[in-house]
Amino acid sequence: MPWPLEIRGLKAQYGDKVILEDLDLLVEKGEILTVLGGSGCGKSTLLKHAVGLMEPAAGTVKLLGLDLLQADEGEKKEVLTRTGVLFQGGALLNSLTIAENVALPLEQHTDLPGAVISDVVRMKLSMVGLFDAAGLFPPELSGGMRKRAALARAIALDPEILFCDEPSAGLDPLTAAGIDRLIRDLRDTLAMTVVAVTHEMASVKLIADRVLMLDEGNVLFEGSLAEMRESNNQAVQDYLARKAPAAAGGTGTLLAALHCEEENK
Amino acid sequence: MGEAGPRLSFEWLPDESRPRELVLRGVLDKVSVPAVYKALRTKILRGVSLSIDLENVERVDSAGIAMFADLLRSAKEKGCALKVSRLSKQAGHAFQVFRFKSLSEAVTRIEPPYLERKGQDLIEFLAAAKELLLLCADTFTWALTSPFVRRPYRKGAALEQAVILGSRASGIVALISFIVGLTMALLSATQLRTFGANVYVADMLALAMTRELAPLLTAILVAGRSGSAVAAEVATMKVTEEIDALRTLGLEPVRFLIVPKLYAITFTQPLLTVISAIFGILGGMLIGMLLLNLSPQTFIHQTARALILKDILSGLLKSVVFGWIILVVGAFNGFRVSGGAEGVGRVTTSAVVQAIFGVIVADAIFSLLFWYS
Repeated sequence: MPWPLEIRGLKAQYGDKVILEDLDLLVEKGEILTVLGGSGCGKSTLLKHAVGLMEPAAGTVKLLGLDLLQADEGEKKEVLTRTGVLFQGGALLNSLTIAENVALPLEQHTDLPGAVISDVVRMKLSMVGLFDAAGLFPPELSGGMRKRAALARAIALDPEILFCDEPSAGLDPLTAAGIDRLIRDLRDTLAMTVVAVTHEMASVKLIADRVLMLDEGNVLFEGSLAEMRESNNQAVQDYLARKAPAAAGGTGTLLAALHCEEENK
Repeated sequence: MGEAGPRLSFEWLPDESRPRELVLRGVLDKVSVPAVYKALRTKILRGVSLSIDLENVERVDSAGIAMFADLLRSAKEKGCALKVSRLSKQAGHAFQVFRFKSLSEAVTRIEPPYLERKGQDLIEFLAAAKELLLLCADTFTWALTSPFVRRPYRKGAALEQAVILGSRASGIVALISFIVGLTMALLSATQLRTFGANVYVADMLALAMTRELAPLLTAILVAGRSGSAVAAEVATMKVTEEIDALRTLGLEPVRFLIVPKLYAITFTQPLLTVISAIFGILGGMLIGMLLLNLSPQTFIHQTARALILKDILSGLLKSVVFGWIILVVGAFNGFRVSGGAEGVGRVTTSAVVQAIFGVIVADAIFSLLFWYS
């Protein structure tokens, strides 16, 4: 059995700016991995590489055993139909209704009869609590509803691996908890593997089997949440305690450069 | 003594020694900074070292702090000193809160040198040209292979696009062509009447509309209403990650979005061109009836004699190529969007301008080709 996600020596960069450096990551079948880290630390970039949207500057990425950038179109499509991706802003197609959005992967990739497809769609929408919104267009929905609809689309084909970019960010606590529980349930029922990028510690506590913490392109911590609490890395503890990094002292600042006598007091 | 509005006064201490000492009183904020800044900068540019007393300043805001960053930069360039001798408590806080990460961030100028910028522009231009060619290759390869692939795009998408790109444009194309035909006939009528050659208005219009004006007018209108729409649609989808979402759903964006439009425009563009030619000639006929004493029968008869199959076919061939140019240029601009809603507006504009430019250049090339054949 190949790893659901296998990343070796990944280096990512935009122009000259290196985002990720020599990153190794193996995700086991059926585990929920959450990726943590400050803004701009490369979490979303990691996700984009995992699903083949970006080409690594170095290293290899294998999704369900396949290197998407080397694969031919048929293989790629086959692997992508076994993968679900929930984008940060939902990324629903605005020209289609919610129901059509969820139906899209089913229509394009399966031979299911139309009646069955529409039942699957209604079921998935009902699972995310959007049964009544089926006929609406994405711009008519609130941000939280869009995200839930996008989750329904991501799980339309019952994927083996699900990637979520901030599944519960910007949602009220109840809805967020609902999404977290849904992700757990799906994992428990279908042995679905989940890789979730998140900022929300509350969400991490609910779903994470394993935590990967990134900082400026490097892995700062990897292990369970309990191990994370025990970690003696200062940056990890700061993150858990929501503490801002220590401010730089007087030297090298503008004030110091103005040689203020106040400094000596 | 100087005044920077009622809220801030500054006082030069009489001592002529270096550095000159200055006492500020009042509020140093975005309202009072301009006047102080000007006064201090004048001194610094003359190479005068300054020592500034902020003890009596009630309030300093970020503009005040930024002023010091800029003055310090100028002072360094001039090789003179800039000091803050005493601070009020609030000013001390302000320096702590409104801070740069490091001094170098505070005093560096951010602007690449001229040549570097030009070189960057050139590199970007070449990259864009390469992308355009790749997009053309993708679009046409997939257009040719899609009929043999299972479900390349949503069922009915091509027909839906034909309605959007074609039938909804027919009204405006007909109206504009009618008016242009009318104007052309009017212009030439004055000349032709002198020779008593009224009836040749029909010949001229038939030739001009089928060979040149109908394809060109249609293309310019379609570039304006559909080229921009394609660019805006694709750009918006890219900005909202819908394009990425399509990819992860195993749907190739060019094939899913552009190919149905290509099929549609390949049919609608010639049809619109035919409509344009017909209405242009009708416009001329109206002038013929009203001002040139030509009966509709005579006009139609004369037109039919003037029409040449080769002209009609070359016009239609041109129109198809124009349609493709509009579509590919629109899609190209859509895909290369960067930076949010403002970027969408920018690429939409350039889609229209480039499409019209491309169409006119292509038209000139066609004219040369048909001239020699």
